[in-house]
Amino acid sequence: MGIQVENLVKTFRRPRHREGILGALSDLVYREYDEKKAVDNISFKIEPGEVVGYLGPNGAGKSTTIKMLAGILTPTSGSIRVGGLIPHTQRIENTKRIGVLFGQRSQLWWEIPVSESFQLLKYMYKISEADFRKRLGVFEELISLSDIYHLPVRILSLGQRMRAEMCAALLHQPDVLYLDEPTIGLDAVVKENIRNFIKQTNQETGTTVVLTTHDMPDIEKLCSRVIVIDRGRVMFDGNLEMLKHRFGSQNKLIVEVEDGLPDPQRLLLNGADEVIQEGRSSIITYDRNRRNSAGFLSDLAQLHKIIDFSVNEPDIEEIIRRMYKSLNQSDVESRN
Amino acid sequence: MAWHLVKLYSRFIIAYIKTITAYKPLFVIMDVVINVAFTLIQLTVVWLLLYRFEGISSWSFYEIVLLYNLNIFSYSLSAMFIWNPMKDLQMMVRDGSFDSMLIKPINPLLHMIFKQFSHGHLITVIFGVVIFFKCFNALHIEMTWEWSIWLAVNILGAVLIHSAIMILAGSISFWAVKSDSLFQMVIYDFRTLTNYPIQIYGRGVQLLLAFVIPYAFVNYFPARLLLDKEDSSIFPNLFIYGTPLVGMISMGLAYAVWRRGIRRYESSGS
Ligand SMILES: Nc1ncnc2c1ncn2[C@@H]1O[C@H](COP(=O)(O)OP(=O)(O)OP(=O)(O)O)[C@@H](O)[C@H]1O
Ligand SMILES: [Mg+2]
Repeated sequence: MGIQVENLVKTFRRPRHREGILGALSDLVYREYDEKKAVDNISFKIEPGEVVGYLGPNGAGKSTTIKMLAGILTPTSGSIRVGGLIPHTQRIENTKRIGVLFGQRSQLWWEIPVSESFQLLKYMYKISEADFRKRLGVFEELISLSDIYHLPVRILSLGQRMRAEMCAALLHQPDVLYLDEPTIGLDAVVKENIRNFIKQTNQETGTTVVLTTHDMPDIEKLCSRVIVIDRGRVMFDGNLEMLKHRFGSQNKLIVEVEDGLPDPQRLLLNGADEVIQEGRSSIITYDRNRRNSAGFLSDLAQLHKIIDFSVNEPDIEEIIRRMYKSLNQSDVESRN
Repeated sequence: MAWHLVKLYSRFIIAYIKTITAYKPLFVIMDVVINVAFTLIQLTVVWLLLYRFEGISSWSFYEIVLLYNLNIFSYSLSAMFIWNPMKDLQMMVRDGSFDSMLIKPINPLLHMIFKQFSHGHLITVIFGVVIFFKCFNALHIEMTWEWSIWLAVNILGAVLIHSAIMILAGSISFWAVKSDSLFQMVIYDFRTLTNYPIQIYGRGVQLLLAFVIPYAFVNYFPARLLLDKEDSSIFPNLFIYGTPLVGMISMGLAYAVWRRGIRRYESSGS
């Protein structure tokens, strides 16, 4: 099922609290509001079966978008179609086709065993006994449930609970899966399990996945496409290769030479963007579209004997960090 | 559809029973004991109070008890389902956990009702049934078919009125995140006004109780219908048949407000 979002806006009204006792009293009588555009004119289109990373720094508006897609929040303006339905007006119809997981919040019933929660979901979504059994079988194979199946949710560890939450979100075989930070706070092994689970689900049932995360391996492992937003606006929309090309052209050349350190000034003159010297090694950052490592190395070889060198391409973590940083800079510039 | 909901509700009840039996049976027993004691004390106080008056204006003691019980009984029946959800709503709206009600394929109000059960109010309901029969006996009421149906329909109407008022009061949470109990208190305090026949009040209060917060339709008019009682309130006699209609209208209004509230719901930042 595809998703179409056009000119989506969500404005929150936040009460402004005045200071002091007098302020508190006047707040009681007359409350003033600040308007906050959490989502500011966002448009995108997601094809059925895509896995899209919805990224952006803290407070960018990711969760707000997901909540509108899920039908929890009513958009201030703009339109959303999920498989042809308008989530907030055709909410109940929409919920049957979507699975939602908020890493920060539990969808399961706290006091009762996981099994009992699943029973409730089974009745809620009208899942047949045969389908139910089959789903449990699949879950058992992919992420193993039996060790926690009869425990009440409140005693589960975060990782255990997240496994249960994932299964709960997928029990009714939704066409679209919204995951808001599904791997937050998990250890490396559980993270990997969850990622595999998402990947398998997508591949086997063609579920469309929209995923927010601050965890870069999540993106590399799962997302064919990323949408990056900042302050409620789309900053980038494309596949990972394009993202790497735009923000990941900065390579790092790390060299060690025999007689002390090379002159950083000379390297900068040769076109390095930055030179950092630590101990015996020099880290030379350069734009791979304009310079290459061979150039630097042959120049260095004229004056020094090179002992060792390596070239590092930026990983996705670095790329995103750089991208967020450049978003911040343009912010500073636009404010000045 | 309806059958599906019945099955779902019974599943919720099973889950609820499992919860209390598995984790806090002692707590529930204590709760029941306290509730029984509290209800008994409350009833005794009212009983003594009324007994001293030996009735008010043209109303005899047991007629007043019936009036009182119509109110308490329908209130408890309604509160058994609606009180806890509306009490929780404020918290859920504030911390954003109401989200989970909006991503499930059942009506959020129904879901809120399903997922809890107020055994405390159940006790009052049981007491209410006992008191009803005591009154019918003392007043020598012949429980014909027709009369019983009127009783049931009026109780249903009264339950709708109470539920509507609770839903309205609860829905304020969607507008004011710190929806303070002020409004709720006002509403619930008005309820006690109807423990007496409304003709003892002035015109203003009578109008208020009939048209603004229609508590008069919870017990006063039904009691007159059921007791076949002439009285000197300012309203036309036809009003004694009004409870089912007023119940449905109130509920319709409350549900519309609730729906508007959901549209305004803003979740929380994290
Ligand atoms: N219920 C709300 N009321 C008022 N403001 C809100 C509300 N929810 C979110 N906001 C504001 O909207 C902006 C976007 O929040 P959102 O939760 O969508 O960010 P996010 O991209 O998910 O960030 P994070 O990575 O930290 O989870 C923030 O400035 C936040 O303060
Ligand atoms: Mg978020």
